[in-house]
Amino acid sequence: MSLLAIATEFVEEYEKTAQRLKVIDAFLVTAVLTAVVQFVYCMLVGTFPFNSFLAGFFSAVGSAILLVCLRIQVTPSNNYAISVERAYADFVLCNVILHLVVVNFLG
Amino acid sequence: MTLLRLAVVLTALALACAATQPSSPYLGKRALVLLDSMEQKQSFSIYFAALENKGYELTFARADDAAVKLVEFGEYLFDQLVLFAPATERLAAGVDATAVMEFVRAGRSVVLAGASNMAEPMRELAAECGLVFDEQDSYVLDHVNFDASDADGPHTLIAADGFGLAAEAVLGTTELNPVLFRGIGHAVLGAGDDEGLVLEVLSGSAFAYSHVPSQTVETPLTVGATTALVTALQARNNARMVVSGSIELFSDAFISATVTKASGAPSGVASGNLEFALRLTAWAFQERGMLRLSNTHHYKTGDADKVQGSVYRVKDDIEFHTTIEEWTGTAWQPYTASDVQIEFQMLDPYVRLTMTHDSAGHYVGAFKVPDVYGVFQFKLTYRRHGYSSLLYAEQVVVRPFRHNEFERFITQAWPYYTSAFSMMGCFFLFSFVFLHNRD
Repeated sequence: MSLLAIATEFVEEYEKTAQRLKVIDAFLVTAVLTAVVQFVYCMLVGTFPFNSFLAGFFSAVGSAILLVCLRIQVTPSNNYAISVERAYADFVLCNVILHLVVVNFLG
Repeated sequence: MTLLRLAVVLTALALACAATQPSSPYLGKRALVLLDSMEQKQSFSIYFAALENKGYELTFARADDAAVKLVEFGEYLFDQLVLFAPATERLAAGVDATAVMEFVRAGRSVVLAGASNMAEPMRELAAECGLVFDEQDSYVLDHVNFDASDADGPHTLIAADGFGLAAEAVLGTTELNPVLFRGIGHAVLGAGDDEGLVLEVLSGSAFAYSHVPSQTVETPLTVGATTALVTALQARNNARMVVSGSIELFSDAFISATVTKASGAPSGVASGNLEFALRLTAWAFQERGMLRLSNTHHYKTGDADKVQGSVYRVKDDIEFHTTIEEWTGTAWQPYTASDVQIEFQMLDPYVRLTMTHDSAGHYVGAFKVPDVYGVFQFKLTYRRHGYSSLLYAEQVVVRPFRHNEFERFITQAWPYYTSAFSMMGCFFLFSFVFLHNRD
């Protein structure tokens, strides 16, 4: 199978996923891109101030992780034992803690 | 009333006379003169009279006189030592090589004169200072620059005017008449090094060499301008020693002679021996070329109280102040030079700055503390030919920024700030979209 064939099939299959999951995926891509941009910036400019770099980087990476966890818990085919509402509530709590820590460490 | 006034005037005059005689700033004026025999005293009468005129108390003794000593009960009896005893086979215990080197280590001055028939003790002393004299009975010969009176002789009587680079600083001037020299030459070990502890004051011309006249020439010890005739040394503790290869340089006969170089010019001039000898001795006895540091302090620029800190912060502006004075022979006067540098060092000098000065000898070096924290030293090292060395080191601590001394918002960190807040915004937006989502 050629690369182009794989890509076209992937796109076709992806069209079939639920809209809820596509929303999560969109925000996931944003978070990852933000993380990559910050990392490249840090490589170019240097690690000063390191605490700010860590705070910014992990705000993006942490958000991405939490979004991934939410996606796993919300996907119907996984048959997770927790309801969507409970999963969402956990997601909110974790985000609150993450952003609290990030703002404190930002300096 | 008039008698009282007269008495006051006379005392003032006497004090004024005493005050104008040059002396060392740290030492007294008790000089010990060691001779081979007491009859020798007459042959140097002009030189000794000139020293006594300057206020030095000369004590004469034979070099092998057991009663003479430099130290008694831990106290030095003399401040200067003049060794005019080249032929003495063995020095007395109180003035042997060990005692003389201890004398130098105590910061005191020595004038050492050699001759062709130099014996072991003087050679040993010179060797301690890195000067190697040629063998017994050798002379410095110069077949071009000899004095016309020695034309039929072995050309050992030289009219020397090869004043070295350091001669200006040591003698005060190089405008001197040729100096008559007859004696032994020496080589300076480590002559090219930068320490500047050994200074060549008078060296042979390009035609001079050191050899025993009666033997055939093989390989002379020194040839040309490396033949040192008179050398000045300054130890690291600023004690001074002057070594001359010719004791006759100081003698009455040479002082009163006229010089006529065999090459023709100059002809019939008075020899420069007395002035040379006196200037050299003045330098050796610390009357000239002494420097001192005083009133050294440093503080943060802009601090109105000028409080000297032991702890400074990274990127502070600080100033280093000091006053350097030079001894003129009778008083300290401001020393003005444009090459005094201050260093701010931690293993390596992070800052090396030439200090600016005003006419009162007050030096200032202002700089910004480097962006490195640790234990630093202010270092001032000033070594110039002919001057005593100034070495100053003071330790200060440089601390990093306290966490509330940084800028509140660092420009370099703006991507991180925007990312943190944009992620919070994303989360907020996401929750709206997720909750109101209709599949």
